[in-house]
Formats: sequence, C-alpha cells, structure tokens
Amino acid sequence: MNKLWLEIKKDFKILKRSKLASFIIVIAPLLLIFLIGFAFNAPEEYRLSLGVYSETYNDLTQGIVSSMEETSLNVIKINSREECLENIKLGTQNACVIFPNNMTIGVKDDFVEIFVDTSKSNIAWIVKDITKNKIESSSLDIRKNITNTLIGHINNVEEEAVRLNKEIDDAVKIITTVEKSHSTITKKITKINLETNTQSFKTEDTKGLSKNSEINVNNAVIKLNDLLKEIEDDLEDIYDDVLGLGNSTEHKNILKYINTSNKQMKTLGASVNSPLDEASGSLRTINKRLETLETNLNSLTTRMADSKKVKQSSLDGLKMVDEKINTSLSKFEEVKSSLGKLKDRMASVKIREPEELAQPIDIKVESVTPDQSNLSIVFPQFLSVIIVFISLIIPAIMRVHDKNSTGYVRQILSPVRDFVFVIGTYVTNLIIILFQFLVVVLISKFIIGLDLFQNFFTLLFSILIISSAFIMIGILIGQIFKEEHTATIAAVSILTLMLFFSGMIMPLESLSQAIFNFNNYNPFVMSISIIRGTIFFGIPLVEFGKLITLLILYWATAYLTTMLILELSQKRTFTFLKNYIKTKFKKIRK
Amino acid sequence: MPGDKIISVKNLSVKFGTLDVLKKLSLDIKKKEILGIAGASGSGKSTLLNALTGLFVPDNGKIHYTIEGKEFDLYKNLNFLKNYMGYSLQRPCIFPELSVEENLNFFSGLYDIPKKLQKESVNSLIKLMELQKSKDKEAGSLSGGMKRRLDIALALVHKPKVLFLDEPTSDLDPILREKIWNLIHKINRSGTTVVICSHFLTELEEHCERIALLHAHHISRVLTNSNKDLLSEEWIMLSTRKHKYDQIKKGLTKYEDLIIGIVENKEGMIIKTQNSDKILSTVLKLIKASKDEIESIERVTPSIEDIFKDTLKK
Repeated sequence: MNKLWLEIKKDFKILKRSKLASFIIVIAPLLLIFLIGFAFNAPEEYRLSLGVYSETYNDLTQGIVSSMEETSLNVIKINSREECLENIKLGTQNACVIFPNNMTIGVKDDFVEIFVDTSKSNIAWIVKDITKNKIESSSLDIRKNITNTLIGHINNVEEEAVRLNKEIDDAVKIITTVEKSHSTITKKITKINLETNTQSFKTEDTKGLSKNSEINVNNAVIKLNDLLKEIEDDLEDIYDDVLGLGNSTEHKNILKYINTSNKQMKTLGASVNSPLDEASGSLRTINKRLETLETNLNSLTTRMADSKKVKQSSLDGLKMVDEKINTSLSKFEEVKSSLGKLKDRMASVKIREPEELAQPIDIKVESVTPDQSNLSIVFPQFLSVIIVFISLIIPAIMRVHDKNSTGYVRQILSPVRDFVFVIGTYVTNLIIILFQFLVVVLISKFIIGLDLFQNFFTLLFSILIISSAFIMIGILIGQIFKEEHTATIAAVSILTLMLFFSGMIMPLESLSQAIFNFNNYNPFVMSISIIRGTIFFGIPLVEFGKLITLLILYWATAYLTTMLILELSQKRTFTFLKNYIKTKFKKIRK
Repeated sequence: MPGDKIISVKNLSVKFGTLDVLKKLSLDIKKKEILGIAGASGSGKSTLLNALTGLFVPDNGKIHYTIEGKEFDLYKNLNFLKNYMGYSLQRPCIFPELSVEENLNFFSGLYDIPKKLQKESVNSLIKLMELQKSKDKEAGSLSGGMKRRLDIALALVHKPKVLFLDEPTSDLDPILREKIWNLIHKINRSGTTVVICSHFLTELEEHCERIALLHAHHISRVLTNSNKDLLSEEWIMLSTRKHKYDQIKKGLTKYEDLIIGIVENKEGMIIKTQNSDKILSTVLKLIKASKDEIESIERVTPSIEDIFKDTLKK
C-alpha cells in the first residue's frame, strides 16, 4: 500500500512538472465544460436557415411559408431550385423546401420536396422536423376543410338512406299485395277444368246405329213393299181365283172385298212407306248432324287441348312471376338490410367534428427531463465524453510515458511487483477523474446552474465505475504501443469508433440490427446510459447492474491483458515456463 | 569455492530470435571484488548484466546468488534477490521530471527499508555522490556526470550486496571518470561487490581485480590483476633466421602450465607466458639445440588492449 501510494505520488509529481500535461488534465476539461455550458445553456432555439422556392406562390404556399417564418427558422425565398440546392451544398442554408408550381390540393403529382444535407445529420433532422411540422400544420387545415365537406356528404347519404328505406318498405308492401293477387289468380287458373270426354259421345256408334236404322228402315220398307206386293199379288191371285169361281154376289162381294183389301193394302203400303221414308230421311239427317257434331267435337277437343297448353303456359308464367317476385322481395330485403347496416355504420361514426377527424389523435411531446435547456439535454453526453476521453487518453499517454521513461527500468529492478505500478497509474488517473468530476459538479452548480448534487453519490460511484473501465483500457493501449503519439492515435481512434456508434452522431436505431446488438456492449453507450439515468431520472445504480458488471468485466480483461503483455515483454513467464517444461522433459527422459 | 563467490553463472544462453547472444557462458563472481567485463561492441556485455539482474529470463542456464551463506536461484527468488543487487545501466535510469532527492526518495521507498534508514541512506548518498547542491534540481536538467552519479546513487539506495555498472564512465570527461572510479572504490570498500562492463580497458586494467573477456558468446578468458600491474602475463616475441619454430614448440610442451599460448605469424612467434624467465631460458636452449640463429628476441609485458585484441583475433 505504501509503495502504491509512492507510485501515485510520483505520478502526480511528474504530472505537476509537465506543464502541458497539467493543462490537458486540469484546464482542458474545465475549459470544455465552460464552453459547453455557455454554448448550450440556452432555451431550445436553433438559428437555422431554410431556403424556400416555388415558381409561383399562391395562397396555399404563401400560407405555409408564412407559418414557417413564425418559427425560429430563418426563411429565405430563393430564385431557383438549383440555387436553393446549391446553397445547401455550400452550407449557407441548412435545408431547402421546394413547392410545386401553383400548388393545389388534390393534384396527385403535386408534392412538397424537402432537401437536407444528411451528412449534417443532427441539423438535418431538426430542420426536416420543423419544416415537416409546419407543412403538416398547413395541410391539417386543408384536411379539415376536406373532411368538413366529406362529413356533409355523409350526413346527406344518411338521410337519403332513411328515405330510401321507407320507399323500399312501401315497394315491398306493394309487391307483397301483388304476390297475393298472383297467388289467387294462379289458384283460379289451376281450378279451370279443361278436360273433355269426347269419347263418351261415341259418334261412330251413333252414326252406325243411325245408318243401320236407316238401312233397317229401308230394308223394312223394301220388305214391306215386297210383302205388300206379295199380298197384292196374292190378292190378285185370290181375286182371279174368286173371279174364276163364279160371279156370285158372294163372289162379287169377295172380289169387291179383295179389291178393297187390295186398295187398302196399297193405301197401307202408301201410308207405311211415307213415314218410313220420313224416318229414313230423318235418320239420314241425324246421320248428317252426327257427322257435323263429330266435326264440332273434334274441333272442340283441339281447342280444349290448345286451351290446356295456354293454361299451362300461363301457370308457368305465373310461377316465374312468383319466383321473380320472391327474388325481388329478397333483393329488397338485402337492400333494406344493407341500408340498415349503412345507417348503423353512419350512426356509429360519433366523431363528426372535422377538426377531430382531420387529426384524430392529438400528440403532445413532453420532456421527462426537468429542464428544457439544451445543456441539460446534452450534459450527460458531454460529461460522458469528457470522462471517457480523459479516462482513455491520459492513462494511455501516461503508461507510454512511464514505459519510455528512463526510470521505468529502475522500477522493474526494484522488488515491487509490476501490478503495483499498473494499479498506481490506474489510481492516479482515477483521482484525476474524480478531481475533474468534482470541478465539473461545482462549475455546473455555481456557474451554469445545473445541480448535480441531487444524485451526487450515485453519480460519483457511476463515474468511478465508468472511468475505471476506460482507464484500464487506456493503460492497456499504453502497454501495447511504444510511442506516445501512436498510443494517442490508437486511443482517439477507439474513442471515435465508440463515439460514432454511441448514438450521439447517428441514431442507434438507424444502425443495422447486428451493429445495434453489438453496440449494447459499447462501453461508451453503457456509460451514457448510466450517466443519463443517474442525472435525469435518479435511477439507482442497482438498476444498471448488468452494465456495471460488463464495465467491471472490461476493467478485469484490460488489466489481465496488460499484465500478460508486461510479462511477455520481459520474457519472464514465457521463458520460465519454457525452461520448466524443458527440465521436466529432461527428467522424464532420464 | 562456494564461500568466496556471490554469483555463480552456469551455461547461460541467451538468444534474441535465432541470434545467439550468450552461449553456455559460465562465470563466478567473487564477494567484494571489482570484476570488469570487457568485450567488443555487441558481444553481449549488457545482456549478461541484464540476465544477472533478472531483467529477463535466459533461454538456458542457471544463475545463483549466495546470500549469507545460502544459495538462491535468481529466477525463483527474483524479488527477494532484487533487494541485494543494484544496477546502473548504460543510460541513467532516473525520472527526469523528479528532483535528485525525489528520485532517491522514490526508489528507496520501493525497498523494504525503514523510513529512518531510508532518509539516512538518501542523505549519505547525496553526500557521497557530491550532489548536495543539486538535490532539488530536476534530474533531467543535470549534467551527464551528475546524472551518472545520481543513477549510481539510485542503484545503491537499498545498500545492495552486488552493484552492476554498465559503462559507468562512458561520455564522461577524464576528471569525472576519475571521480566515478573513486566512488566505485569507496562503494567496494564498504563491502559491495562491483561488476563493471566497460569499453575502457585501461580503466578496467587499472581498477579491476579481475577482468572477464567476453568473446564468441562466452567468457573466453578471465585475467587476474592482483598486483594492479596486470595479469602477470608476458610475451616473448621471437624471430629466427631458419624459422625452426616447430622444434621450439615441441620443446615447450613440457611447460604447458606456464604457457598461456603460442602464436606464429610472418614476423616470427609470440610465446605468452606467466613465467617469462624460465620460458626464456628454455627457448634460448631450444634455439641453440636446433642450430638456428636469433634475429631478434624481446620480452614484452602486454597491455590489456593487446590481450583483448589478441583474444578477438582468436
């Protein structure tokens, strides 16, 4: 312990004698913190220049430009697109906004172009954000107007839907009535009996009967006439016979009688023939009428068949009409249901205020940090930068200086073990950092007005852990390199790399996933997280357990590597081991 | 004799990559002696001192220290033995930003010495090194000689048993060199063994009891200088008409113990011996016996530089 203290005292004496080193170690961080403090201790305000260009400005573009002028941006109207872009390249402007010629709402190809120099990423994002916000604010007004019109249309549609619904109801009623009538008609038509039994007339049989009757009558007439003839002939024969038998009165009477009978027979014949002829004639007439009837019946049958076809087609037609009516009714139902849904949906749109619809969610960005000045925002980063830079560069230079010092060999010649000198350098640097931290805290409190005493001990402990890791990495760098300038370059290169991937220059989230994940192990990122958490939110260090463990691991790794390099450079362990193995091997061989 | 020596080096080999710097080097360093190590540039003098002080572990070999009658392997007891050795390297090992006193205080603090003794030691060293007037000056602003004295003082802060000095008088003017040598003798008189590497062979000849010649990766010769004259070595430089040197060589085989070496060249032959009287009479007899005639014969006491050059030629 005594020897460690001697080493630390010696380091401080050497530092004290080197004016440049003293300046770098004590004055530089103070100067830095002063400069940073005064430079950034202002409300969030940017003096950024913005060029705007449009071939012709109308009310819309002029309105946007005017709203931009209300911000902290220095808005300058530029004469040409090329000039506007050139100004960014030359650095005279931070961004350029180009409006389309006579910009109109609703023109598809009209868009506002914002040009920024992304190489100045932080400024570019700020300008882009302000410009975009202003343009979005103007476009919000336009959106409100459009939304207002849309809302009017929606209300009209809603009213129209209600009216249409009623009309559909009426139409459905009418169609339902028609459907009922149609049903009745169908029933009635179905009931019409167009069946005819023409077969029951048996016209052929009747005609046959009539014909037979006529033939029979004619045959009867012929037979009667033949009979009458035979009777007449017989009566003549009898007359002749009686005439032959005498001319007696009796005979005469018989003859007279026979004549009378003959005459009567003839009269009978005449009287029978006449009705038979009439009957025959009637039968012929009947026959003819039967033929006419048959013709009429056939014609009736044909007509009835036609009527049946017509009835069937009418029924088919009615069925189709029925189906159509049903379809129409279901369609009407569908339309009605759709209208109902439409109405419901319309009714579900509770927000009818154009402002609310144009910007349904209000965004209010509130800082969780108590102070809004730029300094308070960047202070943890700057504190980290100062601590990390000093913690890495000074030990690296100190170690090289120590190594290259003529007194270094004499230290090795002493019985004090090498680790004491390494730890001595580490503790010396830790004291320097703590001193600087104390100065920074005091300056912050009494000159800049930032109170770091609230979480002083947590902050102090976190600074101890962070600087410990970086000091040991610095010592390792100093152990690896032989010259101060190469060690400085190496330390600065490592720092630059860590700084570049720290999120201070580029947002971490914009990096590839692999680098983003790898960056979780970037000690600089870890340091910023711890310092930010401690300063801004007063998070206890326990919460940073993982980060602190990692930083301690960095410290241990750097320390062990330094000791290994030291041993190898003196060929001690290596040669000793080699000789030991040789001796053992020889013994085994013997 | 283990009782006499403080350091024993056996078969020490050091390689830098594939280059052999030291190869099977063996050497004993006696207690309280001033041992000079001489060698050509790049012969491995500093490497030997670095190995002896444990600045690195050699590839092979053993180094033992005898402290209070006990033998300690250097690399197994390095931290312990560091308390018994002081090393002033070729380049002064000081912190130039610290003052003379601060340097002394810092380095004395690295050893387990009580504070009171530390202070005494620092003050006496300041006095010994005649740095009283400059004790508050930054070490970096001191002159070369003062830096050297400070460096030696730093090597002595813990009163080591062995002091290793690598080129302690290089870059110094003759007066300062004299001062440094006086200092070394003072330190040696206090009972400290001093091992010095130097290019200044005459200085080594003048001040060291023994000189080890480092050549061809090992100690090729150790010259003893008990009379402060040097080494009791004499050379008989001989030239004959008939050049019958072989017969002389043959005749001298009986006196191997007295002869260090015989060199034949165009001019004649050199017989290196530690007893020139006896050898000279024998040589004369041999010339006579071989019926040769002496052209010239000279008895020379060689300087350390002659011996050094002669060793290098080998």
